[in-house]
Amino acid sequence: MSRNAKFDGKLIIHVVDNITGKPIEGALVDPGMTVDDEGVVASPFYTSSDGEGSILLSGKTHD
Amino acid sequence: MVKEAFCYPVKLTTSISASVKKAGYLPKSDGWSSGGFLRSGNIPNSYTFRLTPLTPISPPRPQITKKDLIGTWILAGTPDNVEEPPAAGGRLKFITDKHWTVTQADPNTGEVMFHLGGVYTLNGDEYVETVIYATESTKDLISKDHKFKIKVEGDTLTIIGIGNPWTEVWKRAK
Repeated sequence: MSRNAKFDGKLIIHVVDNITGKPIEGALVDPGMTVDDEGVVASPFYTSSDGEGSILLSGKTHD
Repeated sequence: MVKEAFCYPVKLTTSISASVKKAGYLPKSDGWSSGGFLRSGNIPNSYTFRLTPLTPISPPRPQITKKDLIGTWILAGTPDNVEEPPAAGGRLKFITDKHWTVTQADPNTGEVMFHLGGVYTLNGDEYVETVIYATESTKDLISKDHKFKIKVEGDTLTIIGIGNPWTEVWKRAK
């Protein structure tokens, strides 16, 4: 499995202001995800006060 | 290929995309502020969206010209209490294309109680007076700048002090 990509199943999304670099709270993030070209449900979320949120992914990814 | 058949999970190709939107930030034609696609394999543990803030559209600044100001004005009160200026002894403000003065005389004797003046600048509705000279009671104001927002409506000049206490309504002297 040397071709396994390193991915822990969670992708942290940061949303920041492009001018000030400060985190943006309450931005709506709408993820889309496909596994082997099949659409997988990913829940939209609003970023926290730190401008963060996460997308959870089951399984590992391979090249 | 046989080796991979025993692996769990079976070879997955995963891709993630995400779009972000937030009021006050630049939207694209689809209404979303930004989008990004992450290819399968080597998906990072984090991804940063950078949203460009919308530039607030400032209302156009009222264009007041020196021509609107030039003349003799008499103090008529404050915006919340405008009164008819007195026939005599009122506080007068004289404005030319560069200079201004304010003179207050005793209504009974005509003796000048205080007098001060100087130069001014005008930029849109921003009016700044610089005090160059003054009589004894107001000499502390010499060399000081005083900023105002001003409005001219017919024969009425309203000045609103910014960082100073002078918010006044003046009527054009007849």
